[in-house]
Amino acid sequence: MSQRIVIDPVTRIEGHAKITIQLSDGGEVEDAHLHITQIRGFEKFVEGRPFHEMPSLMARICGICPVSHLMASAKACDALMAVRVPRTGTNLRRLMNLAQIAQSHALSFFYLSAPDLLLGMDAPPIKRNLFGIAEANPQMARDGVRIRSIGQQIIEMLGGKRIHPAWVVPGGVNEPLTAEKRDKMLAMMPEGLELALRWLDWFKGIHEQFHEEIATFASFPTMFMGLVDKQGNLEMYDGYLRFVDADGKIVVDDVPPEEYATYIGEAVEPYSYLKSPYYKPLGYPGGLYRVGPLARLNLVNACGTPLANRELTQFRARANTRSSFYFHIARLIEIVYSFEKMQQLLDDPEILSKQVRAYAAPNSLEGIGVSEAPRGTLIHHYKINESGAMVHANLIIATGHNNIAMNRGVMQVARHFIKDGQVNDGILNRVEAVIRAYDPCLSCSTHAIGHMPLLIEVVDPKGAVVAEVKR
Amino acid sequence: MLLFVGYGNPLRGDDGLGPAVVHQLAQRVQRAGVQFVTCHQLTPELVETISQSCHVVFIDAFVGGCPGEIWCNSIEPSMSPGALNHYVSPAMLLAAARSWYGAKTTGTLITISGASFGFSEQLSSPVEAALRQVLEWLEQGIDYYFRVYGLAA
Repeated sequence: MSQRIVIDPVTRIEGHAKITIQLSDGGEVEDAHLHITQIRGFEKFVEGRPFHEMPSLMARICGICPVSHLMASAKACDALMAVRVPRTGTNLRRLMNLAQIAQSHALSFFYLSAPDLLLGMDAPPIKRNLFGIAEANPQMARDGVRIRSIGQQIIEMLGGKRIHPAWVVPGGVNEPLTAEKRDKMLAMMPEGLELALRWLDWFKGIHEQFHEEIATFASFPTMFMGLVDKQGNLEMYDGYLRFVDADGKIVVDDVPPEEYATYIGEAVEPYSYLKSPYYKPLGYPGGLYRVGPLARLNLVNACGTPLANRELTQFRARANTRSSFYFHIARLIEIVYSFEKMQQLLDDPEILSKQVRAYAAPNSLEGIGVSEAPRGTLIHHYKINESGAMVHANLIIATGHNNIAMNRGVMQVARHFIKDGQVNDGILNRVEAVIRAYDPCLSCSTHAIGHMPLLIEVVDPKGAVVAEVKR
Repeated sequence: MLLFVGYGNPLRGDDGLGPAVVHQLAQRVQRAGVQFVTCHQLTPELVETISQSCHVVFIDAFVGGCPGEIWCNSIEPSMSPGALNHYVSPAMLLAAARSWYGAKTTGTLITISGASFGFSEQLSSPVEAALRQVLEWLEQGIDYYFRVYGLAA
């Protein structure tokens, strides 16, 4: 008799999710889905609000990556006002975005995924958390906390608070940087870089022991999408959209972000509130692509900073860059990049300029803002009326871009590890871990309350649930 | 350093008690050697700050009991992590400060029974009264903590 496995809720991710795995009569995996089970509705309830409220309002989508939404939202508002943000205003925004990427990547790697990497996929669930890590390797826990703390302190120094800072506004930022704060930030850069390199080296030393996971964690050819600068290098704040194929060959390049809809379509599935964006020329679902750290490192010409460039070269030479398992190493390389880049920005004397904001009334009825969030490309698309009130919002969230790939990844890992209908906690943890590799932020995408549970279901052909894991 | 951590959601009525107490205490007490932190919930990165403190006072709202009732207990450090590791308890944070950093931080937990946890930025009357009482105690108690822990006045 066939069965259905249910994992509900999925643990150690940002948001609520459920996984169902359908088994055949012979106990083989027939189908698998990742379900995002709650809806947020920000796109609808901002209608009617003044456009200049959007950065602060949209940042409330998430407590983990409010800075990312601030960036994309403020950029969409810049477009509505048709202003050019002063160079220092742009660089201060870049600084905050990089601090956000460093702290968010540290959360994903050290808090959520390192328990599997340090303690093993089959370790007892009670140990698979930061406190379990601290027991086995206190240095790792301390360093993870410290990297996150540095990122958060920089956000707080710039924005006044760590979560939901209101400093990024349409037209720029609302306060210049002082020399005192600049010096405090600069003093933290060497430590952040040293810690990031320490754990990147550690991961490079142990990753091959996960050869089975590398081969099965969403290890398949897909396109990759992300922003690049004019030289084709890594760009987290601005730039142009680039799509590459599974071998890194450029498919589409130099796409102005406001033309995203020419290449990106959005599909919906009945089993999830998370939209499924796809590459339009290939249709749905064939046009799947991935975004985020792995995608960015697969599509750029170079990172643009010395140490990150070196690590990127090594990564491409040694790793199976198609496997989503390598989101982890890409994340660590991007932490290195973030500290290097922040150092460069802070070393520029112009970072203390008082010209940080442009002022204007709305000059355009449509505005699009795109930036790179920790999890991938984030798109905010707004339309307003003549009074400046919002009449339409469309958000394409990084996690959404990865939806099709995450579903296929669940299928791949489930088919590999589940045989004859037999499952155990270690197998189910691997099914969760493939999702975790993407560091999905479901609060951003659709979800409502900030707990992070997970459910896995195994279902027979008649729909009966025969196995279920809840955490 | 003496640390005060008020945690809870200011948009959920009495759940905002902890941050309210710490905000008001910070306005009353302008003194070197005292640090104030407010947050929606406790997270592991607080361990670093806690490890640099000799004593930490956590202030939180409590679901249950008689509204406005005040509970004050010393905290026994304890590692009992669950699977949902975005939320940690004061006892876990103290235990982590000791085991990760070798700190000797001690702690006190002050909880006040809430009456209403619905969508509101207002505290209920009994909790508002309890807040005033706790503020008075803490303001007076700072001198005591400075003496006990040998902090410079």
